[in-house]
Amino acid sequence: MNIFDPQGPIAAADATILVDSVAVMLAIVVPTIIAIFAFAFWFRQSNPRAFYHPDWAYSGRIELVVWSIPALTIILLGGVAWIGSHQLDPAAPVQGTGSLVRIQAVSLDWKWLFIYPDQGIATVNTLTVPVGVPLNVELTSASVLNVFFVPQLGSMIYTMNGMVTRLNLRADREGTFQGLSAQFSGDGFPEMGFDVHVVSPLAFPDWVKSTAQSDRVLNAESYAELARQSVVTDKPTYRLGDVRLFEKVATQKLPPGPGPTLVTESAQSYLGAAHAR
Amino acid sequence: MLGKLDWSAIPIDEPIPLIAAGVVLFAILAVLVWAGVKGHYPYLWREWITSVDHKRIGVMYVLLAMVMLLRGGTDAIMMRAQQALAYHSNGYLPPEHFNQIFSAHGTIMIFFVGMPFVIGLMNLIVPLQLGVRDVAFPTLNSVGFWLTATGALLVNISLVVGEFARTGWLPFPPLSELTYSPGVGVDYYTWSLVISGVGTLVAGINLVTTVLKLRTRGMNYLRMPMFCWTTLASNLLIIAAFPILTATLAMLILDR
Repeated sequence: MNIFDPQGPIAAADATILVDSVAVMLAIVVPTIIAIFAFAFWFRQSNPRAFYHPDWAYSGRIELVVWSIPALTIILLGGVAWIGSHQLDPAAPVQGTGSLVRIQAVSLDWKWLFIYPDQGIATVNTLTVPVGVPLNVELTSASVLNVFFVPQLGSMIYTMNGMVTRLNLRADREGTFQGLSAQFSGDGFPEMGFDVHVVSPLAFPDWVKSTAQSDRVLNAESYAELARQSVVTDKPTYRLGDVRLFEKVATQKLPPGPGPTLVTESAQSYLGAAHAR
Repeated sequence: MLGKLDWSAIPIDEPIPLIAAGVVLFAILAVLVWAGVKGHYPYLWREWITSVDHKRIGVMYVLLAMVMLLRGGTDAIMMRAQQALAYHSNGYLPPEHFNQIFSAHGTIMIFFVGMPFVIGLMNLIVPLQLGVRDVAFPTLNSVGFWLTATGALLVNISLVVGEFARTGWLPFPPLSELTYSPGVGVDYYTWSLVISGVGTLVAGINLVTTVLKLRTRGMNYLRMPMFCWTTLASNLLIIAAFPILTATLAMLILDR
């Protein structure tokens, strides 16, 4: 989960921007803090060598310094942010070897559903991708606002009910990385982590083939079951029964998650008078 | 008269909020009895509760902030204790209770500690620094304070009656909509913030008017102390931001 250990070009660029902006800010913050204490010490009342100008009113040179340095810092920081956000536009395609892998991610209460429309498979809370291949992720939410974030691959992106956001990534090293939801989404929020398995381009088709033999089929019924509020401990995989499932979720032809339905005995005290509605 | 409110709203089976509320009620009763025995009620009513003196209102703002800091600080300790105990176990708080605590902590620390404390200092200091007798609208100042105190009271009532929001202190829809937050918690959040938000807006207008229109003779803008400048800037931000906050909260209330 270490953002300073990037495993792809987007995460590497994100880390560079982070380090650059902190360096630019420290370059002005640290001398200022030192200067505050140095000035306070040098111009103390008991120092006879420090000058004292009680009638001083204006100095053009001081004005120039105190306005130009912050202005230049803001311009520099703004430039870093401006150029970085355009270069790292999440919707812009990423270069890579091999043919692009399309992934459709749906945030549910409280799990992630990943659909591979071209491979005809779907997974929950686990994402398997080939190394070095451009990844095109389309995201939506079938419940509340959420954020898709794989720290070592880069760029958080929001998922929203009834909307589709896009994210392009590439993983440059094989391994297992952690992904998470970065937006509080209710009681099961801490369980919304997922694994990203980056495998070799040769192993990926094998994984697809074995997953496609799953006896579970993802269609409207099994999706409705998934959309209910729950925390999954196993990581179920599915054959994709409906290739247009993601479009139906994003356009709300399949209804969003129903939210809390059961009022258990223990929850009654919290819900209080509300469950009477 | 109480509508849908009944005894099920009170978390009888939850020892933590009940004991906390019991201690608070006991403390309030003890203070009330002590003030009654000593005969302080007329003094308190005339000199503090109905006072329009900017210094007394400022002191009451700071006192409110200190009392709420106790609540917000207790929440912080409870959260950290849960996080410390929850390593490879469930800790002592269920998720729905933890989520209420961290939502209440954020809301209280921003809206009922930080803002009343700073507005209290401004009330206390700005008229003195500007050389004027009081703020521009003294009665409005008192109204603003008591609206803020009402909002704070509402947040604390949620400790024993019903629940507080479980959505974090920025309850984004749709998490804060009725579908995903069916309890009364978000209603407590929205109403306490609408009420105290009007109070904050009133205080903001009051202080901006004071700085712009009520400076003493010779107190021009460049002679004004830095604190008055920061007051002016932050209250202009209040005037810019709080109507929007109130409008969005009103839309959330209508949605629910």
